[in-house]
Amino acid sequence: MSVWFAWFMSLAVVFGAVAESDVTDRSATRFTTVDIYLDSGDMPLAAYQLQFKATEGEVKIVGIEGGEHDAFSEPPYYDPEAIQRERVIIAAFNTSDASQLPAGRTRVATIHLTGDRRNVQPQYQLSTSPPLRTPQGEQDRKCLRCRTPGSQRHEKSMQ
Amino acid sequence: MSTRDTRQSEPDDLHLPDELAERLSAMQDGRVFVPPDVDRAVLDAASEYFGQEPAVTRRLWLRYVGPIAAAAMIGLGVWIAWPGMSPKTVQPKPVVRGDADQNGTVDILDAFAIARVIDAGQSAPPGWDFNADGKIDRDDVAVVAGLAVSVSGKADERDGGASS
Repeated sequence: MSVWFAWFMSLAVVFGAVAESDVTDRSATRFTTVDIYLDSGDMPLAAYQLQFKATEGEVKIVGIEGGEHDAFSEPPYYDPEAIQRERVIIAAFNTSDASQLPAGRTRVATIHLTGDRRNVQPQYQLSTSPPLRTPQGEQDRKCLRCRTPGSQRHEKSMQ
Repeated sequence: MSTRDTRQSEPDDLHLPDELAERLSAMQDGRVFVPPDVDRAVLDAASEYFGQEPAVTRRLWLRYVGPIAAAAMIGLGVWIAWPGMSPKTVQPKPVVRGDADQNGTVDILDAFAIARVIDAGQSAPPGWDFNADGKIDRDDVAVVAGLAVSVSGKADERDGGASS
C-alpha cells in the first residue's frame, strides 16, 4: 500500500471530545455536540475509524457531522442504526494527495446528542475501532475517556 | 578415412569353424545319466525344503498379525482421543465479506484499499465485487465501509456521507 496507508496505521493520535455546549434549554431535553479531534502529527491524515460511546447518562446520538478540513468535511461513514443509540462507529478516508490532506490536530467529526439534563453528567468513551496498528502490525488498544460540557479540554496521546 | 580403416581391422566372418561347431553340437545330444537314488534324494530334499519352510514362515506371520493389529487400533484410538494429539483438521480460513486486504477484519482500510485501486485505474481482484453486481466500483467501497462501521448487522443498507 502507499505511504498514506502506512501513515494511517502509525498515526500519533490525539482524540479530544470537547466544545460541548447546550443548544436548547427550554425543557428537560438537552441537545449537545461533541467534537472529535484527531492529531496525526506532521503526517497527513488519510483515513480513520473510531468508536464513540456514551458510558454514563441517558444520551442518544441524533446526528453526525463532518470535520473542518475539506478532505473530511463530508459526514463520515456510520451505521444509521446507531442514531438514537449511545454508540456509533465512524470512519472516513480520502485518497487525495498529501497536499490536500490535513495534518496535525483537526476536527474530523461532530456528534450531535440529546439527553435528559436532569440526569447525571454524561461520560463518553472514544476508542479506535479496530485498534490502531503500527507499521509492524502491533495493536494499540488504548482508549480515551472524554469529558463533558464545561470541562477543560481533555486530550490524550495514543502514541 | 578412419571408417574404412576400422572395417579393415574387423573380421568379415564371425562364424565358428565348421569342425568346432559340429563337436559342440554333438556334446549336447547326449543325456547325462542321474542315478534314480540320487534323483529321488534331490527331489525329496527339494520337496521338504520348499514345502515346509513357507508354512513355518506363514505361521510365524499369522502369530503376530493379531497383536500388531490390536496395538495399532489402540494406538490410533489414543491418538484420536488424546487432547491435542488428534489429527489436526485444516480449517479453511473463513471468508469475511468485505475483507479486501484479507487480514481477518473488515474496517475502513478495506474500503480505502478498494477506493485507491479504483482511483488509480488499476484492475481490482474479482473478489472485491462485494455487492455482486459484476463490477468493482464505488458501490463496493460503500458496501465495505458500511460493513466496517456496522453496529447493527444491517450494514449493506447504510447510507450517510462519505469522504472521497
